Amino acid sequence: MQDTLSEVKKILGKFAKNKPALEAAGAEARIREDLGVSSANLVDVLLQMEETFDLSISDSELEGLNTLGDAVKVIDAKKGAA
Amino acid sequence: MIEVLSVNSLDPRDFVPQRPPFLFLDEIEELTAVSARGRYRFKPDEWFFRGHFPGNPIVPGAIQIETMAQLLLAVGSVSAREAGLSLRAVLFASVNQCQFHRPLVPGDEVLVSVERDWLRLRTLQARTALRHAATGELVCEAVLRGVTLQ
Repeated sequence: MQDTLSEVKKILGKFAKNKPALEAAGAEARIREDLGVSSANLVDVLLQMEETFDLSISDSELEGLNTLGDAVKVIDAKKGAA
Repeated sequence: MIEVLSVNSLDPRDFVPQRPPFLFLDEIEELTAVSARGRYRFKPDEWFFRGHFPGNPIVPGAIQIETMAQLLLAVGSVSAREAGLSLRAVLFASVNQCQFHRPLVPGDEVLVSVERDWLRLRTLQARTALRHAATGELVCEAVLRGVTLQ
């Protein structure tokens, strides 16, 4: 969980407008509202996550993601299932 | 299977909302959910030639990008329909890796091409290009994105 969280934060580093919030963010941080990732960049986050973790995430799975913790859960579940 | 809407000429006005003097497609020769081919001739009396530049008219880079973007919108509407997405409009979202290779002057005709990279999260990314119709020379290329609005 912790490793995945730091990897996800690293990915978001390229797209989050609120860098201090990202640095301090825990699992409860909201990707768009708290970290300032734009809707337009969500697709870039999705592509980067797929490449980094070598898995595929469907559009509908990502549309349901709100917080960092949500993203970590989806990734860890997929890694566990692999 | 990819549905090819037509190998005959299609009217761009059936696929994009722009209209003259801001429609830069004379015809669409091929249109599918993943690619398209079109053409446009920059008429000598285009409104922008008067100011860009007086005595030395060339097609502005922004208009070249717009030309490619208009065909992108057409692919976006077919892509969205094929993916079963509800669609109100396709909006031009971003330009990346854009390069201009040679100038276009009044009377030049270009071949416009769009090749889809992917459609994810209602966003379409495609490689687009303009080629000089008479010589085949690459004029401009860019990676463009459009967003489908529901």
